[in-house]
Amino acid sequence: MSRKQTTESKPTLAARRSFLKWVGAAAATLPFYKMLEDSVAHAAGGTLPLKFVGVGAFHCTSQLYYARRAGETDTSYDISYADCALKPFDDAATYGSSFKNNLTIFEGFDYGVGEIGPDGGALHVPMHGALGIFLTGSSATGGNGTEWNLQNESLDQFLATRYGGDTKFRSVEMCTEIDFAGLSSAWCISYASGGRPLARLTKPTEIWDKFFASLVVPDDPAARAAAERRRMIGGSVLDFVTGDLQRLNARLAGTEKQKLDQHLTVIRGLEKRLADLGTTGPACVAPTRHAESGNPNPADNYVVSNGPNGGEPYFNKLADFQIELLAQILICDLTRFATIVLPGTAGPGTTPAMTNVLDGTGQELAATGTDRLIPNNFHDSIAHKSGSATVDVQRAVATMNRWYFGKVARLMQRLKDASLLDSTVILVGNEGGHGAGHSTMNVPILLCGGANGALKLGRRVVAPGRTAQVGDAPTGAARTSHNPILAAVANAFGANVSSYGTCADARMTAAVSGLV
Amino acid sequence: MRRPHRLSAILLCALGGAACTGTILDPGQGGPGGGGPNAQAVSWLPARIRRLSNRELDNSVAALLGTTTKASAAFAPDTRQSGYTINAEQRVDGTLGDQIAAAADALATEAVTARLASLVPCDQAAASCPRTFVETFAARAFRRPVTAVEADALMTVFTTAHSGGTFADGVQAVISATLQSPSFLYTTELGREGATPDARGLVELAPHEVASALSYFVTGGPPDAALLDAAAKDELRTPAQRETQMRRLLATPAARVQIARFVKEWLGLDMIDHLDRTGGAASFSSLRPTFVAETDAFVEEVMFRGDASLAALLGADYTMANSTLGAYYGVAAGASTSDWARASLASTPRRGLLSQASFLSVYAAVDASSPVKRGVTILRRLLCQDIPFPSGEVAMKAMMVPPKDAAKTTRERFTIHSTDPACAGCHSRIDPIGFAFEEFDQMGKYRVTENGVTVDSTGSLVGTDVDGAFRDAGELAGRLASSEQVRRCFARNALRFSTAQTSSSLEEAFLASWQALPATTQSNLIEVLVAYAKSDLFVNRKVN
Repeated sequence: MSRKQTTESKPTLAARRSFLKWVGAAAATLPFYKMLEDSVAHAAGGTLPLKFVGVGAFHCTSQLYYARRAGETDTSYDISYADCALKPFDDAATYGSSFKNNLTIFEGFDYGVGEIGPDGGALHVPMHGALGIFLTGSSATGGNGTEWNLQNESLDQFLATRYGGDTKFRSVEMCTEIDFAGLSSAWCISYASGGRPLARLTKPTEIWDKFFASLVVPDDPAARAAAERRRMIGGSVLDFVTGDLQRLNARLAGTEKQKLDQHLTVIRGLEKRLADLGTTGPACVAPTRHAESGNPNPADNYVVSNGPNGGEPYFNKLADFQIELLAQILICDLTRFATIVLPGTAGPGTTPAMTNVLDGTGQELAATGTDRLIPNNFHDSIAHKSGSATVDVQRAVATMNRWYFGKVARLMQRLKDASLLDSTVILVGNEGGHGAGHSTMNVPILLCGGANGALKLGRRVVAPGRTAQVGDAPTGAARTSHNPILAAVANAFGANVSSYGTCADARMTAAVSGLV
Repeated sequence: MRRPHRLSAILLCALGGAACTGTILDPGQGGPGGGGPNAQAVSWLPARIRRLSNRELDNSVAALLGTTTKASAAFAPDTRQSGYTINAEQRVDGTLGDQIAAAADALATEAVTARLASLVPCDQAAASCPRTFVETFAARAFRRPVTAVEADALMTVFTTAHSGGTFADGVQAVISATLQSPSFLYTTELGREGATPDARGLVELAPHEVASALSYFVTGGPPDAALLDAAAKDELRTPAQRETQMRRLLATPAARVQIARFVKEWLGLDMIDHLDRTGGAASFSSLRPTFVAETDAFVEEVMFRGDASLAALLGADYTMANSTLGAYYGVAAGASTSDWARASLASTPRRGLLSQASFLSVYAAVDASSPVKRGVTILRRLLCQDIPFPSGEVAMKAMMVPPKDAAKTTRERFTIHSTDPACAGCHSRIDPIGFAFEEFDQMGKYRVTENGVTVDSTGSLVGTDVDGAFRDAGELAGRLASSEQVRRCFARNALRFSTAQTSSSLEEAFLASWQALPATTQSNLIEVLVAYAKSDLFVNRKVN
C-alpha cells in the first residue's frame, strides 16, 4: 500500500517499511493497523505524520503591542508583558507551558496578491473580502464588496489532497459563527480547487456526531446487528450515488467536470468512513458532547443561530467547544488537516458577562471572554478607530488579539499534552493588518507548533524588503507578499514547490528559500 | 429559427482621469475608446450543470415527498454570485455532503412513516411493485424518464434493504439514495445525450431540461405534471409554447415568492434576518417581520397587479402597509395587522423600495444611519458603478468612523469626506446619495431632526445620466427611476438571476437584445423574463 511521505525521519520510515513487511499487505488493511504502525514508527524514529491547522481571525492587530520593543531583535524579545497581543504564547500559568519557542511571528507581510488583477493591472481586494487570500495566496478575478472570486485551492486542501488519504476524514472545516452572509472570501479560509469556498461545520453537536459518534461501539448484539445492517444499506445507497455521479460526469469537461470530481471525492469519503471500523490514535478519547441545552453545567448551554452578530452572546463558549473538539479530532488522528475560523465580532449583548462599567466616553464595557474589559460594540467603537493614537484604543485591539491567540494557545496546550505539538503546523492569519485603515498590509500572521524540525520557530521574521520598527509596522518596500509563507509550509510537508498561489505577477507567489 | 439581435461587442471603458477609478460596467456611456468595433461577439451560456440552491432543494423535496419539513434547515448556506443564491458555482463539499446524507436519511424515514401509501402507487404484495415504485419515483425525482440502467441500480438498493427487512425499508433506502443523487441535486443543461453541436458550436437543451429550466426559473421549484407532459410530447420547442408555460407558471403563488426573492437578493435585503439595530422605540426584532412583509407585499403588488416596471419599484408613491406599518410611517393603512392594503405615501418623502424600512435598516450602522452604505449600495446595485474601497495611505485615515457627537447630525459628522481631497474623489459621488436618506434613521423611521438639528437631505447627483439637484430621498428615487443607466443595470441583474451566472459578455449581448425590444416590453420586468424564456439564449448552450 502506498503512503504519502510527510517528511518523516529515515529511522521512522525504515521502521514503517519493516513493520509493513512484517504484518503483510493484507493486514495493512486492518482498521487498527495504522494505530499500531504509528506507535512502532514513533518509538523507532520519534516523528509522527505532519498535521496542519489554519486559523482565521479578525480585527487585525495593534502594531504597538505586536511589534518588537526597544532593544529587541529577531531572536530576542519579550512577549509576556501584560498588554502584549502575543502574551498567550508565553503564559505558562494559563496554558501549561510557554510556547515562545514554538512560535514564529511574521512582520511586514502584505496580501500583495490582493492588489493585482488577472491581467496584471490593479485590482484591490479590500480587507473585508481578503480573509480568503490568507490560505489561498490568490489574486481575485473580480468581485465587489466582500465577495471576491479566488482562483486556487487553499493550503489546507492542497496538503489534504496529497497527504490526507490515510485518515478517516480527509480534512475538517470549522467555523464558530453561522454563515449568514453565505460562503465568501470575507468569511472563508478553506477553498477547493478553482477557488471555491468550502462550507464549514458550525454546531458543536454536528461536529461531535460526525467525528465521534461512530467511535462509540454499542454493547448489545441487537444494536450491533442494527448498526451493521445500516452500514450495509448505506453502502448500497452510496454505490448508487457513485454510479449516478460517474454517469453524469462522463458527459462533462473542464470546470463542469471539476464540480462532480469534487462531489465524487466527497462520496468516496463517506464510503470510506462507512467501511472503516474506526481507527484512532492511541490517546483517543471521545470528548463530551455538549448539546445546546440540558448540560450538567448550565453555563455550557448555548445557542447556535443566525441571529445578529452571528451567535452573540455565546461566541466565547462556542469557540472553546470547537477548539476542544478540534484538539480531540487531531489527537484521535481522525484527520490531519483542519481549518477553523473564529468569531468575527464582539457585538452588543454579552450576557452573562456584562458589566456596569462605562469607559470615559460613556461606552459600556463588557467582559466577553477577554482578559480585560473592552467596549461592548467592539467593531464600531474600537476596530474602526484603531488608527487612533489613544493608548486605550490600542490596548483594546491587543486585548481582542489575545482572545484569538488564547484559543490557539489552548489548542497548543492540548496537542503538547498529547505529544503532537511538534508535528502540527498551525498557521494563524487575519482579514487584514490595520483595522481602521481597512488595510491588507502588515497582516499579523503566526506560525506555531512544529513540522518535525523542518521549520524554524521561536523568532520574528520580517518580510524581505522591509525593515523592522519598534512599536510599529516594518517600513520599506511598497508592497510585499505573504505567499512565501504558504510555500514554506507546503515544502515542510515535502511538497517541493517553487511557488504557492495565483497571481499575474509571478514574483508575488514565488517561494523564498530559507524564509522560515 | 430567429436569433437574438447581434450587435458589435462594446468595449468597457474606465472612468477617465478622476481620483475615483472604478469601472462603469455599462458601456453605453461612451467615453474614450468606446464604441470601437470588435468581432461579432454573441455570447451564449456554456453547457453546464447547476447545483440547486438550498431553497430550490427545499421546494424540490417538498414537491417530491409531500413533506413540510425544510430539507436544508441544517445545511451550510449557499455560495452567492453577485448576491444571488441561484448560480452555477455552487458545489457539494465535504461538509455539505454529510449534511445532505443526514437530511436524506431523515426525510426518507419521515416519508415512509407518514406517507408510504401515497408514495407507492401499487400493491406492495405484487411482485412488480418494487420496480414500478422505483421507476415512477425516480422519474419524478430526476425530473425526466429514467433509463433501465438507473432503474436496475435503484432496484439493487431496494433489494438490499428489503431483504431481512420490510417493503418500507426498501422504499426508504431508495428515497435516501435518490435524494443524494446528482440527478436530483443538480439540473443539467447539456442537451440530449449524444447530440452533436451545430455550426455555431451549440446544442439545444433536451425537452426535459427546458421543463426544469422554465420551472426553476419562475417558481424556484421542479416542473409540475403539465410541464413534464409538455416535455414528453416535445411541446416546449417553440417560443410560443414556452411562453404559454411561462405565463401559466407566473400565475402561481410560487412565482410571487420567486420574483420577490430576486428583488431582495438584488438589493441585499435578505440580510435583514441576520442584523440587529438599536435606538428605536420598539425592538428591531419585533418590527423586522413587518418590514419584511411590506417589501414582499409591495413587490407582489407592483409585479403582478401593476405594470411590473422598475419605475414603479423605485418611484411608487404608495406602499403596502398593515396597521403596524401604517402607524410606523404615519400613513393611512390596512385596518389590522393582517390587513395589507395600498397606503399612499404622497404626504411623505418616501417613494418606492429605497424608502422602505427594510432597505433603510439593512444599510445602516447598528445604532445610526449610514450614508456611505446607502450611497455605495445604490451606486453598485442600481447604477452598476464599481466603487473601490479606499486603499493604502488613504485607507489608513479613511475608515475611521467619525465619532458620535451629541450636537451634530450624521451629515455634519461626515463633512471631512468633502473637505479632504483624498476622500472627495469618491465620496462626492457616494455621500450626496446617502445624505438624501438622512430623514430616515437606522430603523427606517422618519425624523425631522437629529440631535436637535434639522436634517438636511438635499443634494446633487453626479456621474449619472440623471444628474442634478434633489431635495430628498423621494425626489432622488424618482430621478433614479427615470434613469436609463439604472434600467440597464436592473436588466443586467435580471439576467444574472435568470441565467444563474455573472458574465459581462453575456450581459452585453443581452442588453443589446433587450434594447431592441418595444418600449412597453422593455420596461416591464415580467415581460422581459418572458422574452428571455422565448429567446435562443434560453434554449441553446455552447459546447467547448
